[in-house]
Amino acid sequence: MKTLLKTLMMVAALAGAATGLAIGPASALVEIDVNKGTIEPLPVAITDFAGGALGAEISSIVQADLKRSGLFAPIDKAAFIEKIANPDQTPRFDDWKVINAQALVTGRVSKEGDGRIRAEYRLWDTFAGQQLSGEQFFANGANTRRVAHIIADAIYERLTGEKGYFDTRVVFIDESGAKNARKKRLAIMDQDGANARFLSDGRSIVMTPRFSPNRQEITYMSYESGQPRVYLLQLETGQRELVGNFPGMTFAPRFSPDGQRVIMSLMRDDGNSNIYSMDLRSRNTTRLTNSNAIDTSPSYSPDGSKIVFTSDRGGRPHIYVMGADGSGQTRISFGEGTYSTPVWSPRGDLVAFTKQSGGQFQIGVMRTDGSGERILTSGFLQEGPTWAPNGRVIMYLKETPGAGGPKLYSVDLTGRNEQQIPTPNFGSDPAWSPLLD
Amino acid sequence: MKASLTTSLALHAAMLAFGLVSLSAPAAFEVSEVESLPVDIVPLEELTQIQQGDKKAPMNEKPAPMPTKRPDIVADAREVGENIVDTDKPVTPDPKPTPVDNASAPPPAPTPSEKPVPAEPPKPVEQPKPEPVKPPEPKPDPKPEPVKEPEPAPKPAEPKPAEAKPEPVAPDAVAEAIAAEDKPTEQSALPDRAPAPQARPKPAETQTAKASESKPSEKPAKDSSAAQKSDEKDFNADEIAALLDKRKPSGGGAKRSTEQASLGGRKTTGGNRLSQNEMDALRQKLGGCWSIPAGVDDAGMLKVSVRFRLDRSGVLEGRPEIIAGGAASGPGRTAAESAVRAVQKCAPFNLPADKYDSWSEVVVNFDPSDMF
Repeated sequence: MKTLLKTLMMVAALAGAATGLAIGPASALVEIDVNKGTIEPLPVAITDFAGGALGAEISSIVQADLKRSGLFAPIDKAAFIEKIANPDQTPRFDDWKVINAQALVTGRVSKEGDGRIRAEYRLWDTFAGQQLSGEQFFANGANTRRVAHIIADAIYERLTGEKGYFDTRVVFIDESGAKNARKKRLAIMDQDGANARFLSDGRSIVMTPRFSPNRQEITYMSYESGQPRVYLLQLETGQRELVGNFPGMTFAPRFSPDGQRVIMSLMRDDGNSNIYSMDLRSRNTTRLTNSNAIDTSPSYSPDGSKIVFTSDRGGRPHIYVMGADGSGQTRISFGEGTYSTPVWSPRGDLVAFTKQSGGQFQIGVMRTDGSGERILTSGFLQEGPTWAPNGRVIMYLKETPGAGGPKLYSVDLTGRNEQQIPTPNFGSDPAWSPLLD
Repeated sequence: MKASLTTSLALHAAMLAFGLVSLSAPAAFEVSEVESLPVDIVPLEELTQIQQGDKKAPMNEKPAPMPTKRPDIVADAREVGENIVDTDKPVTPDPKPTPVDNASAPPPAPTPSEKPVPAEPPKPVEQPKPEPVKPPEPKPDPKPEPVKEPEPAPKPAEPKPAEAKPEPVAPDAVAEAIAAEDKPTEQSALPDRAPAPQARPKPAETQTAKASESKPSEKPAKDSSAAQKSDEKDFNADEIAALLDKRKPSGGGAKRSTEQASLGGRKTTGGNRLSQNEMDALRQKLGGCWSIPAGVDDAGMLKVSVRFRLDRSGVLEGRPEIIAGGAASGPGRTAAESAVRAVQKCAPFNLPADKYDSWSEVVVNFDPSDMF
């Protein structure tokens, strides 16, 4: 009996060893760790969409959007070997691989009977030889730019895995006239600078416009009544409304993520400013900070649970974080110089800020606990960052010496892709809208 | 004074003695026993290279491949040129049997005799043919000469065999100084010569010319100095090297060894696995093809492992497969696609063919964390 058991065990052991051997030696295999790649824009070929001049216009807007993002390098159309006549046919991928196009965009625009336009696109992976995505959109004839932006967003999202931001708008302060008699008007434009229009007549100074998360409203500060006051403006109706009526000046307003509250600074006569939030429905205000210092520039986290703000309670302006009810105020910035205008990223992971250090203005980001501070751009004068809705791009004002006034610029989170946004005149105080829908 | 000195000495001596006894050396630090490790310094080549040898042989001081079986030395070539024609053995046996057959069968004998006759004449006829072909330069001269006189000459050539029977001596003398033992064999030897040129009409035309001319030339040589001319013409400058080269023709082929085979592989390789340099080159190449998805949140966290197969020429077989990392959508998908695209863009890969077994399948771990 005992010997039988032993034999059985031995057989079992042998079987185990055999299976181990069978699995063990992996077939001929080279394993390599690649830790270095190229951070270069992805080469993309964007062909003229079928449909005549309209198709060419849409594809050029798509191309401009993708190029401005800094993540894509559209290939010169003159280099194209294959001319796409029918966007429904599978392209000859070899012709596109030769010119190193890693993705290919084809499409078509046509007019529908009811005056709408129909735009469709296809995105191809040339190396895999397959279609990555293809969609079609309908829009009324006046909205060709928007259709192009939507297509660019779809391509951006499919290729980067992030939401796009091309179909968005930006409110800003348009500045014109001589420096000592500057005319400041509230203005709005597409994120690429197109379709700019004015929302105020310029008779009174306006500042710090901010988009509501539901994007029908803008809140801003105006000297209209002689005193700086925070107003709400309905974009579609043009209706304006004073937010609260405090015995002092209110400034630096910002919406809460749910659009139900406005948070702002209120300065009393003693020169101290503190942060208040107001419920837009009930008009109840809550005081969140109570210090002898200047607390200002509040900004909600995307989940509405925290607020980041600037305070000079430590001697110099620095960035602090507190709960939405004012609890647990802690300082997060500890670098040299002063920090101001913190803005919580829509993604929630970073805070963008303006930093003054060594005679330079800098735009930077840090994690919400203050770690990982990175300066994205620095110069003579730049401040007031605002986040694109996907949290990848920051827009801000920048003035170069001798320019006579500020212009709007954008930079992506890598800091490698700074672009000027065309505005009719000088521009400042940009605020990015959420994604349009 | 004396007492104090003595006391002092005595006390010092006592103190020293006391110190010697009581103040012992401090205890040595305890040194834990360290097990020594044998370390060999081994050149990398030993790990990466396989020498040709016998898989079952014991290891030898001197690496030696298997003893070869091919003959090292080949008999002298009688005719410079093809190996088949070189040795006389294959030539002689063929003709010999034929005469034997002839002898055995007397009635057919006439036919064979006739046969050789026609067989021979065509050959001479053929010979002249080749002559005009090659002799664009010198041969036209000798030809016309032989052609004129030679009309007899070819005829004599035909009769040769015929005459050979009655007067074997003459043809012997005429023929080269080959042993005149068997006249019939000589007769057959004539055809023997003939086949030699047959075998190499194209490559060794000049030689056939010599052979063929030698017969007629000797005859006319006595007649005229034209023969000398023809001899001179026979001298081909292109063959100087061959004439001067007295080396024994080698069998060619791989190097051979008579030593005992030592342990080794079927063939010599630079090693079974890719060397560090080759791996680095591959890594570098892949890195150059890889566009990091920089626009992605937490791009540094997006590690992707890709496996792909290559054929012997380094061309990608099928689509690279994601074996770790990546996702079905969002940034994960972007990272996976960028990794796959890097491989597809980089292919084909230029890797050492003799190590194909080791790189037929490649796994690449794309890890951008160092870049951010």
